[in-house]
Amino acid sequence: MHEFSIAMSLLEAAEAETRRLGAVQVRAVIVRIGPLAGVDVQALRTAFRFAQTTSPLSGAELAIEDAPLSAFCPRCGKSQPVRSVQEWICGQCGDVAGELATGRELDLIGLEVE
Amino acid sequence: MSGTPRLVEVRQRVLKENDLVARELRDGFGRAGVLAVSLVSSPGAGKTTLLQKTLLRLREHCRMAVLVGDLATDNDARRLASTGVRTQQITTGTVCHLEAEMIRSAIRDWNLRELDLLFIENVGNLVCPASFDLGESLRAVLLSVTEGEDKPLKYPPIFHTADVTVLTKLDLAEAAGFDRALAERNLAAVRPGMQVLGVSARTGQGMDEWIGLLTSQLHACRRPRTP
Repeated sequence: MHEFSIAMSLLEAAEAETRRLGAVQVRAVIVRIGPLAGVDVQALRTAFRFAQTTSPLSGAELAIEDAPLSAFCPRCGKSQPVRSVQEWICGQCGDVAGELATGRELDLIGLEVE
Repeated sequence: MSGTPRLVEVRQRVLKENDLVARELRDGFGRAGVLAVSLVSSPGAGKTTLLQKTLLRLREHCRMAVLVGDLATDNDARRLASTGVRTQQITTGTVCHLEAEMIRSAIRDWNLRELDLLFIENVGNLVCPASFDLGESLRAVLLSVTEGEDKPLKYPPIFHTADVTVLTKLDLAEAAGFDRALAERNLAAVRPGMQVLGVSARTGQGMDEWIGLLTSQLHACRRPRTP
């Protein structure tokens, strides 16, 4: 359950940004998570709800965007979608894919404020 | 109170703090010429035994230390300290993984220049350690033959953050009905080209190759950098 550590880090980062913006009401905290980030989205939602109760961001929604899985494909000569985390195959040409390009993201994208 | 909702872009890594500490550690290890190697696996895959045998093999040849993460007991730390190598326990309590800050605090008073090789034994867990960079330059993921060949398919993130897979307890492979070729196929499906070693720390099988990997990395890390 490392999602609690992640929820705390996320709240800290979001709170720092909120302070920087001055008095605003945060409606949503928007994150982007890749399939190889090692994060269970359901567990993160639960941890976030629990952690935010003692935070100035209590009441803010956690909005999660999926980051795509992609890797450099040596045959195509560019980044391509990968079939799945269990099948490291170029989604375009079907060859073995190379170095990961996207898919490990665990990023705070922004805040929806009013 | 109401206003027009607007979007404020932030774009930063959620674990930025951990990543910054990890980078600082990596730089510090690099400057001091220390090879930092971490071991991750599920509980009971044989991290401590592999480490114990590794320390015994290398203790005459290089200056080593061990950080060992454990939820509650100091059993592993005592086993490792019995080799005579400096061992420090990091008790994580309810935290199921090590974070870079825990490493930084543990070695705060150390003189890294007195070391060649630092081992970091993570808490037994194939899930959570995947998200946390510890500043290590080599991460080995252990997969014991009793766990089943499909672990890479079930836990892709940890196999994606590791540099090498070490199949452990090879002496039990036959009794466990372990299909090494299948395990390697599964690894290749998740992470093509990943280096795979097989060892039995108990019988010594495959240990030369593991020690060889460590010593070659150690030489590479101690080679003076061109300015």
